[in-house]
Amino acid sequence: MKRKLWKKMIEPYLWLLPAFVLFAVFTFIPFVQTIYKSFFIVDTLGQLRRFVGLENYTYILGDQVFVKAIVNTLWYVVLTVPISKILGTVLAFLANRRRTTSFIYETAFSVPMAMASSVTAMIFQLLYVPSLGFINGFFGLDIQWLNDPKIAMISIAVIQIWLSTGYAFIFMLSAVRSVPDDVVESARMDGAGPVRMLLRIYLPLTTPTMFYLIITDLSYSMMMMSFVSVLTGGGPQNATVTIMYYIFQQISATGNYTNANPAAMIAFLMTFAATLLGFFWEKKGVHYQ
Amino acid sequence: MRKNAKWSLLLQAVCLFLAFLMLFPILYAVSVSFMEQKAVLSSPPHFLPPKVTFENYMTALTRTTLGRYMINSAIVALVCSFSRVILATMTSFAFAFMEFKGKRVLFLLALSTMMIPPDVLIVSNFATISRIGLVNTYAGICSVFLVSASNIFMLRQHFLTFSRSLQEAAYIDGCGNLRFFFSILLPTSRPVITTVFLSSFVSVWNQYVWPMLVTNRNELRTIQVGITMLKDRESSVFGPVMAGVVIALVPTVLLFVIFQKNIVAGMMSGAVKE
Amino acid sequence: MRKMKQFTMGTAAAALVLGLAACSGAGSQTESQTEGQVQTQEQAQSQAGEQETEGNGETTEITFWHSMDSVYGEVTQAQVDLFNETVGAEKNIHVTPVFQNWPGTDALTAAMATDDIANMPDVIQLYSESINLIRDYDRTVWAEDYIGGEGASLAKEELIPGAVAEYSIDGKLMGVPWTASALLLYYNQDYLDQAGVQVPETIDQMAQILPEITANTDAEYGLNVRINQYELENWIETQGAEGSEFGNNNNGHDGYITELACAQNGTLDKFLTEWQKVVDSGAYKPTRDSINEEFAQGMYGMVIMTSSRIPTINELAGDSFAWNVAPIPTVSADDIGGAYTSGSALFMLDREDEAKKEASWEFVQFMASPEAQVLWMEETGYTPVNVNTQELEAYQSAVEAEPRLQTAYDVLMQGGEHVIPALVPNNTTIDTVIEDAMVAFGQGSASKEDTFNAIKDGCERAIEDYYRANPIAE
Repeated sequence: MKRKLWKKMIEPYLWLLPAFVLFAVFTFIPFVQTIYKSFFIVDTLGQLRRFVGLENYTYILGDQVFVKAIVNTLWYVVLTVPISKILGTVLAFLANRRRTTSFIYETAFSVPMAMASSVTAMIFQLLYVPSLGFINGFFGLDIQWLNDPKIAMISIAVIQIWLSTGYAFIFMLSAVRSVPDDVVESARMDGAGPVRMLLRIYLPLTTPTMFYLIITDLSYSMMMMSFVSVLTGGGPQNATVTIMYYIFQQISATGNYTNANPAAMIAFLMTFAATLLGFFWEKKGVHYQ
Repeated sequence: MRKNAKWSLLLQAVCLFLAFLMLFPILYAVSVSFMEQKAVLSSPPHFLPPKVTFENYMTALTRTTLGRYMINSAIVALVCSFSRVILATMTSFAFAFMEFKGKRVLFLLALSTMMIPPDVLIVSNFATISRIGLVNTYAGICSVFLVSASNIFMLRQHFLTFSRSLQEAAYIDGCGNLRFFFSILLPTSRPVITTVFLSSFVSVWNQYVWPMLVTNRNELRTIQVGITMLKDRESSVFGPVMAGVVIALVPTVLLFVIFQKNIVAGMMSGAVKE
Repeated sequence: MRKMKQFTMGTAAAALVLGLAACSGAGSQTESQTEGQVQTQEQAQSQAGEQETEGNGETTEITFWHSMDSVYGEVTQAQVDLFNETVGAEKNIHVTPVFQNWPGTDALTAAMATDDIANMPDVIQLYSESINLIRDYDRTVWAEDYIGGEGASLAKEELIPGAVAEYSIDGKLMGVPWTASALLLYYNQDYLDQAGVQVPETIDQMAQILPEITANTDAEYGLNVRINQYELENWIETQGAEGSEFGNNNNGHDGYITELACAQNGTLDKFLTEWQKVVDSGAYKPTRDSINEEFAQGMYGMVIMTSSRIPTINELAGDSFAWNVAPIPTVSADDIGGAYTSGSALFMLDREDEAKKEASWEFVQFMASPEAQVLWMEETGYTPVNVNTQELEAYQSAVEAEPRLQTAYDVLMQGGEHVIPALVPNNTTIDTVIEDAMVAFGQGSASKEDTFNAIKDGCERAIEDYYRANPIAE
């Protein structure tokens, strides 16, 4: 009897063990070290030189570029996360019922998900060239897509929206399609119109998937840097520096972990706070049947 | 009925148009890969190559050992995706169906791995891998990709929507955790597991920084590294790199096409209908 | 109940696929372990293989890291192959080139931080901006210790003087130059003829002809150049009869750069004063898009960019118009002019194996030899770093086919050892600071004084930032 009880207590942790061992080795332990090191001056070789307490934090927060990076990152998240979710959902509803050509457009909608971000950046780089690029040339525009400080971040956000829409689409499509038929039928019997079906049945029942998409995309967007490094290098006038790009630049250019470590901590704390907000929503608004 | 048919045609036309829009950047990349360098950026712009050339592909294939890189990427992506699916199903099973102390904290802890900037971890991870002698091995490349919090999260979301009545029925039947997991949960979750598998495959396939760092032998390099080798940073020539991009896309797009039916079949369709 | 049975039946396959051991909680670990074991075995075998050959006193294996992509990577491979077939075969040295991400420092810093000499290269290509990373590193093997020694086939005098100075610290050569290019003025000869103007020799002359070009030709702008650190440094360092300092301590070659010298010695101010004329001409575009294609399509009268673009422009422009290259216009008429040698060098690292060090030196010497350097001429716009390359027939025929390549060489020789790049700390930040300031200046949204201060303050902060994390050892 005792053994059985013990087994019941310990069993859940056994299921978690393998994943958490990997997390510990490759994420938790190194990150705890990073937190520790963020209170020190660290040289290019990663050696601790001198304890400075919170000085590294105040130092980078006093750096205009880093503050700009925080603002830019938040702006980017606001630009990309909601729009891509809405577009993905709309596409999923359009594609919900199977039709003759479903196969074609379902694949087309989801394929952006297969693209590597650095590769995607290169393609858009060509499309965005102001003088000879396709977009301006074809539509007869004269927009400085990546050279105008006001537009550059939006141009980059468009690429992210394109990628995440594909991702959102595929998950939302399976969510929409897995709304049980009997629920749909009985609602129809009750005389619910399309709008009411959408608001009362489909949207609530797909919230678990939507919750997943929003939380993961939040982290993902907060961590964006590949587009910036290919397309703008943070310019013009630091309009596209993101926190991750700031960190990347500190590390790869000069091996400056003294600035990178506290910046990483701040990025983590911001994302974590946003995720916690998401979890409050989960308690209230996410319906697990 | 006739109205319905017309409506359906219209909807399909709209969807196909949107499909073209979504595919446009990819189609453009394909088109550029067949263009001569002169035609890539020109006024007026070309969507289709004015003169088709295969030279970019010749260059891409002779300049690097793309075939070898693809095999490496495929091995790494397959191993990691299997590992991710297995670990994610196990972990999310515990998170979704069991009650235990610290569940919420542990779940948040797992999720927090998505929020940590990978750049600050990379040197520590290299040190770990170098200490256990896995630099220049497939195991070394795979090591940091063996588990993904977002996969765990996805499956947890799916499991939480799993029909409670079925679950209870199973337990009343005397079905233990193991049996429930293998006999009921996994088979009914095939579509979502396929989705998780595909998304991990794609994400590992597209990895670049880490695989490059832990290998310094050409034979172990992955496809995204190969694409970088075609890039021409110094004089910005686009043709060969676009050819490389297209070649690298073929396997992932093929996987999508093959599994597409499976993915969107509806997560619970196996369980609830009957 | 019927449901339950069906589930049980249909499950065997799925269970198999997903790994029967999953429930034991160790499934994935066993999997990754076996994977690891297979790999380590393979590795052990290949290591054993290496040792065997070395044990017989036969071949010394050299690992060479570079970040040369596309056609540059092809030429690199050809140079290495040539070495392996000639000197290598003779002296039992085999070199394996490995591509690393540009600028080549990622994998190096990882290996340095872990002191993992097993996964370090014997020879690595680095650009001059990365010199700060290894100038105090104790595994750096200085070329100076070999180049004067007995049995050295390479002498400093054979190399472009500017390139030698570029990779020297306190007069001692750290790495051996490998690639070189120069900042050049590219001009559309047809447009200059139509406008009836000469190739400008000073910025002042250039500013005067810009409106002429736009008025009399199809060009949208007279000039396109985005001024980053590279361009600005060139205009600073080519000032005066003997070149000028961008950063103090001889541009960081005698001690470290701790101050932005050009803000104090008047060169930055002088340049901005002249450049104001270009901005005021109204025919100047300060941002950069697809400069190659745009120049090739006749959008600009002139552009300023590196000499390595010569083959690209040649391919893009074809016969559609006549174009040529010239030294960049100088700030004052009596400046030394030319351009600094931009490019990369090969550095040797100490992996605690004397045989490897000797072999590395053989290889590095070869890569700077005329035979290896001339290979750049065929497909790239790089200038050979070895002056004796000029005597090779292959060089002469390459220059005959593309005379513009000779201009690049002459420009580099013009600056001599006086015009050298600064070993700027935190150079990407400084690059961004300069770009932002100069684009704003070029667009007319910042005055000369604002621009001067933006550059001065931004660079000083970046320098301070660097030494805060990497204090200078006393």
